[in-house]
Amino acid sequence: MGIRKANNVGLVTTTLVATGNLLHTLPTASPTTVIIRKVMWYNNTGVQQTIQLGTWDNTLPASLFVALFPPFNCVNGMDGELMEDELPEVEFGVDGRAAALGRTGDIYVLGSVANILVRLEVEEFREGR
Amino acid sequence: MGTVANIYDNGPISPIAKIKQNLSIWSENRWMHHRIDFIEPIPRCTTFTVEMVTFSGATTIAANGTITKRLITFLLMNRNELLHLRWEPVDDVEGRLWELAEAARFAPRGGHARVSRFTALRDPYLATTTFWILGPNKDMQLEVLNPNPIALPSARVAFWGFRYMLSVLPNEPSDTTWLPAQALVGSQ
Repeated sequence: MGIRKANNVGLVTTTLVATGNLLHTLPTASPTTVIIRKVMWYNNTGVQQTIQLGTWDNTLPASLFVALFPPFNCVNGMDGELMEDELPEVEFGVDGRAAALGRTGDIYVLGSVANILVRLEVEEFREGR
Repeated sequence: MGTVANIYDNGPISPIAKIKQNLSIWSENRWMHHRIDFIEPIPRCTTFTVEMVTFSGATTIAANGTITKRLITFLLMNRNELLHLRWEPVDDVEGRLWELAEAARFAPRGGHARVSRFTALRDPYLATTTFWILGPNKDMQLEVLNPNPIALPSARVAFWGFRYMLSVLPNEPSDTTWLPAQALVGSQ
C-alpha cells in the first residue's frame, strides 16, 4: 500500500530533447519506489504524436533516457487518459549504484514533439508494499 | 489489583477508564493517583490541526527539509488535566514527537520513529501514535520533516482524542487503572 499523489514536477509540457522531460522525482530521504497509476495528456500540436514514459539510466551516459512503457498515441486535438486498470505495474526505483551506474528511478516523458501536456498520478511506496 | 490501561489496542481511540474510576499515572518517576471526574472528546477537526509551515513563520517546508521542533500551543493543559491523543500528518510529511523538548517519544535506543501518511496503512487506527500530556509543563513538541525532493507549501498535522479532568487522590486506591504513560517527566 502506498500513498497517491500527483507527479511532483507538476504539469509538464514536453520539449524535444533526447533525454526526455522530468515528471516525478523520487524522494531520497528514504528508499522509495513509485508506480504510475494514471496518465493524462493533451496534444494540441497539430499533428498526431506519441509520448513514452521511462527513467534515466546512467549506463547510457549520452542519451540517458530508457523507455519503460511502449509509446502512447496522442491524437491531435484530443486529450487522452490511461487509468490504473490499463497500466502495467511498472515500479520505478533507484539503482543503488545510480551515481555512476544504473537507474535513477525518476519518471521522465519523451515526446515525439514539443508542447504535449502531460500529468500523472503516482503511488509512492516508502515503507514497504 | 487494577488493570494496565489498554492504551495501544488497535481499534478506534476510546477512553482508558470511565468517569468516577481511578487512574494511576506513572509520572515524575512515581505513580500519581487520580480519580476521573470528567471526560471530553476532542474530535479530529481543523482547530486541532496545526499547519506547521505557517505556524513556524515560513512560506514552505524545503525539499528534504525540516521544521524544527516547537511547542504546539493548542495542546497546552491545565493542572489536573490529562490529554490522550493520536495524530497523523495530513500532508506528505513526517512528524517526530518530543515531550518537554528533550525527551524523544517513540524512540528506542536505535532511532526516533516518525509518523507519516504511511503509518495508517499498516496501523489503521493509529494506535501506535498514542501519547499523553499531563497538566502544565509537560508539553509536547512537534518536529516535521519533508521527505520529498520538492518544497511543500503545507505541512498539516492533525490531533484528536480525549481530555480527562482529574482529582488527585492522596493514597493508592484499592482499585485503579494503571497508566504507564512514559516520557512524562519533569515537574508539574
